[in-house]
Amino acid sequence: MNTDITIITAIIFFVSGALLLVASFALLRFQKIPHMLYARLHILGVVDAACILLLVFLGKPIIALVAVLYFILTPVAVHSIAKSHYDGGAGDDY
Amino acid sequence: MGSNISRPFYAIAYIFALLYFIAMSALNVVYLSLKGTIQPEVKVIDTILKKEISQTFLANSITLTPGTLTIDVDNKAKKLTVSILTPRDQSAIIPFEKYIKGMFE
Repeated sequence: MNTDITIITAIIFFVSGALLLVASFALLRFQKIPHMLYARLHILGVVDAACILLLVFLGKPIIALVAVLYFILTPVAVHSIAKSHYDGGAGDDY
Repeated sequence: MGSNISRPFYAIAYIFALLYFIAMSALNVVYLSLKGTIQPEVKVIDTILKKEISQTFLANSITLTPGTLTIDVDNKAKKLTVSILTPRDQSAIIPFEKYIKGMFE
């Protein structure tokens, strides 16, 4: 029983690590396309999902609480960045 | 839809739908990043939600889902300015609208 939980946790950690690797690769890959900042924010959404998965399955209740907080704080931060870019007249800057 | 008794069920369904769509679109964004065919654009979409709290929930859900991102919310005109990673339909951007409508309105 305990071994099963360890294996499931290991698989989830592996999947999260793979997601983080692909996301960090994609962040550097796309350059000089229109709406670059939005594209990077979208890709960072994958990092958010992977980190939520990690925090939930780390096995400590207080850290899982941080994951719940994540659901409220992340959209606010992303929305602030996107809105300031949209209103600031930066246009299609990279 | 909208009676007081069904609201908690819509809330539970909303949580599961949100988690499902986050997982699916994260995998979709990973696939698109590896394939290299991304084409970000800004789009204005309509919503059927009237209350401010439900529009806030909708905007937060859109931003939490990788691949879509809310820029601006217009409460009176019931319009959302969203940025999407690849061109897609309006129903694919806001699949959780009906759960939020059942939960708050």
